[in-house]
Parts: sequence; C-alpha cells; structure tokens
Amino acid sequence: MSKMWIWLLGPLFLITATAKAHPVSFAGAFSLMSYNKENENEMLLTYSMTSRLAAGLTYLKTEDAEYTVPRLNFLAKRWNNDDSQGNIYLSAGYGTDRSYDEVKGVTLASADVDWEDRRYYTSFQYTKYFREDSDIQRTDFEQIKLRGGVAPYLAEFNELNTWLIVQFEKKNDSSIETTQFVRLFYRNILIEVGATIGGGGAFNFMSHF
Amino acid sequence: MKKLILAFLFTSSFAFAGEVETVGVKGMVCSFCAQGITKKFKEQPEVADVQVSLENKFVKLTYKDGQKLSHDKISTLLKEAGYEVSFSK
Repeated sequence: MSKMWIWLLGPLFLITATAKAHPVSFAGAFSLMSYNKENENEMLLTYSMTSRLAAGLTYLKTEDAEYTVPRLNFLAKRWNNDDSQGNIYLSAGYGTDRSYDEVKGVTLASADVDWEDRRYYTSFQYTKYFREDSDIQRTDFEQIKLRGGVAPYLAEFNELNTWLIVQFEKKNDSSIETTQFVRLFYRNILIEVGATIGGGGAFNFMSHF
Repeated sequence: MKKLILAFLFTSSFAFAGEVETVGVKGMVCSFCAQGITKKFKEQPEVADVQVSLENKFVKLTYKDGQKLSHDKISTLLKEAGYEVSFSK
C-alpha cells in the first residue's frame, strides 16, 4: 500500500506547480484529483473546455477491479450567492473494467452536489459503475459519499486554510465507513490526511492549473 | 547620485501607476475560486496586477497606465471562471 502511495503521489507533486478541484473548473483549466486509502486508489484528470463542461479520465483501483474511464463532467447548476456557493455536477463515461483476469466494458454515471461558504462545507456524491454482463461475481460498483466540514478559522487566499472534515462512505452492501480528515488548502493545492474509525489511513490530493 | 536614483524611483512609480478598480464577486468562497479568477484576469494585457480578498469577496484590478477593461469584459471573464459580478460592492 505504501509503495502505491509513493507511485501515485510522487508524480503529482512534481506536476502540480499550479492547479484546482471539482469535476468542472474554470475555462482552460486542468484539474488533478487523487483519493487514496487502503485497497482503493482513484485518480481523476480533467480539462475544462468551458466553466460548465469538462472532459476527464478516471482511474479507480479497488480490491478486486480496475476501472479506466474517459468521461464528461457537466455543471448542471451553480448558485453563486454573496457569501456561499452551491453546485450540481453530472458525469458520464464509458471505459474498461479489468477484474477476474478479464477486461470488459463499463459505464460510469455520477452526480455530485455541494454547498460551501468560508466556514462550512457539505457535499454528496453518488457514483455507479455499470459493468457489462454484471452477475453475482461481477456486480455493479456503487459508491456513496457524504461529507461535512468546518473551518476552525477563516483565512485569506494567500494564507493556509484548514478544515476539519467527516466523511461517511458506503460501497455496495458494505457497512458505512466513517473517516475524519484534516484538510490543508493553500492557493491551488489541497491535501487531506485522514483516518477511518477502524484505523485505516487516507490521503487525498487536489489541484488545478 | 543618491538624488538621481530617488528622482528615478519617484518618476517611475508614476509611470507604472495605472487605475485601480475593485469588483465584487458572488460565489467566491475558497482558494480554488480565487486562483481561477486571478489567472483569468492576469491573462489580460490591460491588467498589471490582481489581488483577491476572500473575506471581502472582491477582486482588485490594477491596470497598466491608460488601459482598462470594460464592465462587459469583466463580467465575461468572471463568467468564464464560473462566477458573477456582485453589483453591491
């Protein structure tokens, strides 16, 4: 596991001299996101053609499968308020599912909803990978994430922003996993270091450039 | 010599001083927002410097001498970054 982190994160730190998150960013922006925990690594690279539409590539490795999926991300709705912002993103794609020594097609569908101001943050994400010929061994992969966060102090753009975040995650018929994160956010670099209630580690990285 | 240097610095500060404009931005709540907005405005040849305040939700544009962005252009750039002008600022 530790070797996988080095391979995934080492190049990211070299690449990202500047960067951003969210499935869609500002027009002309590249975004790089990486979510890592025990037995699961995900990387998403996107390019935003406009502030509403982005093309991307997802790579997700779970305990028993690897998904590589080109995708389109669409900002369906944004609320720009004076002191807060809310978003609804929809994503879809088609790619490959490598599992049980077989490679088959897989269709991705995902919805992200978030709301944040400078003090509070909340998000909901639903993702489903529809496997071709899904059966009892090759079931569709479903992931639900609910997050909430609070900033213990308010910082400016050029200062280190810190957030305390709790994430509840459910995959297929597994029980809900709770992870606590400390998010450190400086300019265009965001990292999250976390631990699950069961004791596993987690590390997320986001940037846009 | 010292007087010459001071005189040069004094006159050059006028030569590079352009108009400053403050624009309120709706929806700008995090560093990623500020980063995108800063990048969009810095790409404009009329703009000499960009400063963003998350607390006050504005972007301060310092223009090159004799140059300025139109309000329509500012609105378009903010829209391309995913945000809106706040006319209350």
